[in-house]
Formats: sequence, C-alpha cells, structure tokens
Amino acid sequence: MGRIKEIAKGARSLIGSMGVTLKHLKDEPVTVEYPAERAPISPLQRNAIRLIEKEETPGSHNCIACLQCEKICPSNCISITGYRPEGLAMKRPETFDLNFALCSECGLCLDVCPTATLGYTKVYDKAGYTRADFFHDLLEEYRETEEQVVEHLREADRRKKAEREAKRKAEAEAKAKEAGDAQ
Amino acid sequence: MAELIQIASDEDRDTFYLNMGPQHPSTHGVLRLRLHLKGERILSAEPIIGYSHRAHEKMAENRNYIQFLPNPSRVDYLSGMIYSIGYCQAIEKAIGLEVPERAEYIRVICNELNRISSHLLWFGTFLLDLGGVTPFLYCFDDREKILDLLDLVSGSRLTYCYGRFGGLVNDVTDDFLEGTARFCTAFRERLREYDRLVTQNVIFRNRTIGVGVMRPELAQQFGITGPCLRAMGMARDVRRDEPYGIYDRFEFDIPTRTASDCFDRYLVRIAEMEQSMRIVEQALAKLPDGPIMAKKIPRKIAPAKGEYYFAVESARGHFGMFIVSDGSEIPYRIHLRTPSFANLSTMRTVLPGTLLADTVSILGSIDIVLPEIDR
Amino acid sequence: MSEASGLAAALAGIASLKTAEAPDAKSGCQGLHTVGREAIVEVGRVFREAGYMLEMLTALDMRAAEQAMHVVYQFNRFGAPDRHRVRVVVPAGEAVPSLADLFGSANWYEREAFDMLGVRFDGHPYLVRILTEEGADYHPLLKDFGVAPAAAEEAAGG
Ligand code: SF4
Ligand code: SF4
Repeated sequence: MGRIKEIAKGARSLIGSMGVTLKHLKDEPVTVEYPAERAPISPLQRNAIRLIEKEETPGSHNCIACLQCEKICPSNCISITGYRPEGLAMKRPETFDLNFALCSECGLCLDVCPTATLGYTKVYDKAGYTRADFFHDLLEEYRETEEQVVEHLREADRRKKAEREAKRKAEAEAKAKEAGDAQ
Repeated sequence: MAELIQIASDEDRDTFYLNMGPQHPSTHGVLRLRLHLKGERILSAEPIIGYSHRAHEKMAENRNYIQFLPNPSRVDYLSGMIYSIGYCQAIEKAIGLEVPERAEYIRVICNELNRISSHLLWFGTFLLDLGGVTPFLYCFDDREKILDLLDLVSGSRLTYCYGRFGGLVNDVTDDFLEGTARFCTAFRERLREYDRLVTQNVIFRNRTIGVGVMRPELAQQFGITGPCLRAMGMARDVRRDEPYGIYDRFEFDIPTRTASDCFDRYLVRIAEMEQSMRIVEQALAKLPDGPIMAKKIPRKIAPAKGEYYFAVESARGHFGMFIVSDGSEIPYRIHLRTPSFANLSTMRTVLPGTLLADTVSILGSIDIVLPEIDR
Repeated sequence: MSEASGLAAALAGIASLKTAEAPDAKSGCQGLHTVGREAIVEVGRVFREAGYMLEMLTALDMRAAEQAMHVVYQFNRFGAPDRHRVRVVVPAGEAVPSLADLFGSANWYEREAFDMLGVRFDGHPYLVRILTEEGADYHPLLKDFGVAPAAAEEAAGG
C-alpha cells in the first residue's frame, strides 16, 4: 500500500516537473551561436587597456608619460619609458607596453590617469599560443602620427605661450596706462 | 603524514580509504576528501584543502590598500561584488570616509543581485550533483541575466572591481535600473517554477530530507555562519545584527528552518533569494540622485595605527576582514575570515556515519567555494 | 545583560588577563584583552561556557618590533555582536596551548596559523600544514619571507 502511494506521489511530482519543462518548449533560445553570432557586450566592459585618441592631440593619444598608471598597477603589467620632445613642456611615451597576461582588469590605471587617455579595447576573446602574444604595444597604432602630433603640440605650446605673452603685455600696458592716467 | 596511513589490520580488512577529489566534479573546486569507508558507510572523513591557495593575505602585505582592491573579489569569485564592496566599506570605516547616498543604494542593489546569482549557481550545481540536469540550465539562464546586469555597471562579469574607497567607479544607467526591475518581476515567476520543478520532486526530497543533519551544538563549536546556520533555526545575519552600509533601512526577513538537513539548507537559500529581491526592489524605489563618489578622498589611504575588524554577510556567511595597520599605506596584515572555511571544517564531524552517496549532497548543501577557503 | 556581566566577572577572575579601556568603535570589537599564554585555555573555557564561538584566530608577526608573535583570538556570540579580541604575546619560536579541545573550529584555525606563521600549538591533535604543500620549510606570512623587491624598497621608504 505504502509503495503504491509512493509511486503515485512520485508520478505526480514527475508530471508537475514535466509541465514546467513543456511550458518552456516554446521559449525563444537564450543562447547565441558563438563565434558566428556574438552576444552584445556592455559598453563599460573591461578588457585590455588601450590609449584613446584625444581631442587635444588629433590622431593620437594624450599620454604625458607621468607613470602614474605604471605605479598604481597592482600586477605591474604596464611599463612605460618617456622622452621629452624638443621644445615641448610635456613628456611623451616612447614605449608603452602592457603585459595583458598579468592584467586583472581592475581599472585602477584608468582612475589615476590625469589626462584620461586610457580606455578599454572591445576585444574579449583574444587567445594566443605563447605568453608573448599577450604583450601589447599600445603605441603601435600611433607611431606613424607621433611626429605630426608632437609638431601639433609644439604649435599649441607656442600658441599658448604667445597668448600668455600677449596677455601679460596687455596687462602691463593697461597698468602703465592706468598709472599714466592717475598722474 | 606518517600517522595518516595506517596499514589495515586483519579485522578491518573490509575498510578502505577513498580519495574523493581533488578533481572530482562534485567537490566544487579542488577539494580532496580522504574518506575512510566500511562498505558504503563513512567511518571518518578529512577534508584536505589548500590546492588553490593564492596567498591573498601575503599579497596584501606587498601592496598598498588601493592596489588590494582587485583581490577580495577573487577570494570568493561567486560573491565577488559583496567581497569587493565589503573591503571598500572596511577601509572606509577605518579612515572615516562617508559614502554618498546614491552610491550606498547602488552598492546594496549590486550586492543583493550578486547574492542571488551566487545562490542560483549553487542551486544549479547542487541539483546537478544530485543528478538533475534541467534546473541547472534554467538557473544559468537566470544567472546570466544578473551577470549581464552587473556587467552593465561594473564592466566585469565575475570578478568585480566595482567599489572604490568613497564610492563606485561608474554610475548606473537607466538600462540597468529597468533591467533590474524587469528581472525581479520575471524572477518571481521563475522561483515558483523552481518550486514546482525541484522542491516537490520526490527523488530530490528523498535524497535531502534528513540527510547531513548538523547538530545544533556544532554551531557554537565551529562558528558556522550563513545559510547553514539559519537552517539550524538561528536567525543570525550580519546584515541584521550589525548593519553595515545602509542595510538598516530595508525591510527584509531572515528565513530560518529548524531541521538543519540538506533540504532545509536548500529552502533557506531559496527563501533568501526572495528576500534579496525584496531589498533590491526597495532600493530601486528609493534610489536617490546625486554623486557616486565622496568629494574629499584622501590621496593617501593610510588608516591610523591600530587593528580593525569589519564583517559583511556574503552569500555563504560571515566574511570578516581583520586589518592591522602600522599607519603606513601598506597594510601590516590583512586576515580574511571566510565563512566556508569554518563551515567546511564541520565535515569531519558531520560526515562520519553517512553513506558515500550522501557525501555529495552534504558537501553540495553547505555551498563551499574552494578559492574562498584556501584564499 | 546578566550574561555579559557574568562573562566579565569570569574574565576578571583570570589573573593575567588585562582588559583595555573602552575600545574604539572602529576596532569592531566590544572587548580587547591581553592574556598570558598559560591562561588562554581558561579564557577559552569561559567564553565557551558563556555560549561564545571562536570567530577568528590568527597570528601576527611582531618579531621586528617586539621579538614576539601575537596570537589573536576573536570570540563572538550569536545575535547582537559582542566581540572580544584576546591577544596572547608569545616569544618567537615558542608554543601556545591549543584550544582544539574546546572549539572544533580552533583545529583548522590553529593549523592555518601554524602553516602561515609558524606558531606552534601545544596539545593540538594534528598540527600539520593546511594550505601550503606538505613538507615545505617556510611560513609564508612571516615578514622576512619572499617580499617582492619593489615592495621592500617602498616599505623602507625608498
Ligand atoms: S586594469 Fe589594473 S591590472 Fe590592468 S593594467 Fe590597469 S591597473 Fe594594471
Ligand atoms: S597615467 Fe595616463 S598620462 Fe600618465 S603615463 Fe599612464 S597613460 Fe600616460
């Protein structure tokens, strides 16, 4: 008797669970056929870092090689050497390497960057055969334009300097004029 | 090691040792159980841990407080958000930093979503251990939605580094808020389905009811916390007992059960997901506008010389951080008191006398995450 | 609050126990104590009888400043927190009595403290390494173990 009851109970629970499964038969698939299709990724998704193009430096990044990101990185995966181009107040990076194999995507380097020139790439499925595949040269895409940008920056520097000069001159003149008027 | 390996004498020829793990699918990570068996019955059990020890505590002593930010979420990768935000809160308390309201609310939303996702993963894999494949797929579908939501705000899917001292990295978007609200509505329905699918299932009930009972005195002896403790009938939850952040502003129940078997631990977790959802909905309704970062954040994060202890309720129980500062920017010592470590150590007393097949359900039911135990 | 005052009275009965005045809220503890190592088992018993659990046990390497190790025990009760941090100062290389008979959790905690910092616990039933490999000859959380050169420089103010 107990056994029959048991079986009846089991059958009922089985039918109940099957009902749930049947209900979901008509559901749309929730998976995508990677790599043919790709699920959308979050706009904030963190991947390897990169240098982003900035307004102040058209065609290039605006890194000033201040090494703050290198210093804060908990995994020591950034290494930068800077140089000072002729006639420029700011430094520029000569090399900017990321060892992505060590990166924990913590985002601390983005936080500290004073020029906000760091961002994330959108590549989330990079694979490689050797560790060397994960050494990213972040300056690669900008090497060609470096000369131009330095020139642009020099130009901007000169302009700023000239503006400052002019302003100081104007102020001095105004002062002199005031003094003259007072007399 | 010598005393471990006893050559069987003549009368216990029918007993034998069995190594379960470290690469066993149902040990949830790299746990090795050394079981001494007589037939199918366990005579003694010794969990052997340490296979995924990554020296997080040593790492803490080699970097400053800010650089330790990515670590806590790697300690317990299933409730990474709770750990990472908990660490921020610990340091904020130590240096006396106020966090803007909006950030506090977002933290609560993310924490609770993370708790649900952790419980969902546990639920799926627990059922998988017991032989039920279907619920696993549903759980991962739901969990995926939460991961997408958290990805939307934090940029990571599992090991979050979303908190910062004094606030958060990014503000939430409307997408996130709408998505969360939508998820809550849909998930209520899903929970009812899970109930039909699993709770009423006879096989599941037979394999869990009365299995793996933790005697009540074990709670004090071993310092059991989290859902395992609540399944013993003790309504203890760090969120209620010593509210951190703004948890004192929310209405939620602490689900408890009394039998303390695998089935009750299961029910407690299911009920907890519902309570987490309640908290999320309240937080969504009250979410104020404003900044997400405190205005004045000291450039140097260096708590005054002294010792600090701060606890949060992770998905598995009481996660405590014991921070010793010598006044510098580098922690003198950070000790992480992780819940599963204590919970797993009870296995030496709980397992003997049970059947080998039940080991799987008992181990599964305490919800261990090995990296969190090994640190 | 009779339970708490009973605990206080019992603790006061232990000769070598010194209780710090009104602990700072930041410390997260309601009571801070220091006790001689011979009395730690007695302290453990008092807490156990009062229904407290051993919440945390760890050690600190204070050899540089005090030529000693600190073993830190933290007891807490269920419900509203009443956390007591008990500290035992032990000269480097010497052993502390084990609490493994009183608290099940002490068994693993002490193994961990031994593994990480090399503190020995007298009377522990099975004091072997728990997290690192068997047979290793180092204790990773000691301050002189494997500090990354960069951090060492920084710590030295470089
Ligand atoms: S994201 Fe973190 S780990 Fe990666 S490079 Fe930046 S600071 Fe380093
Ligand atoms: S912090 Fe920013 S500006 Fe400074 S070196 Fe790094 S990328 Fe360049």
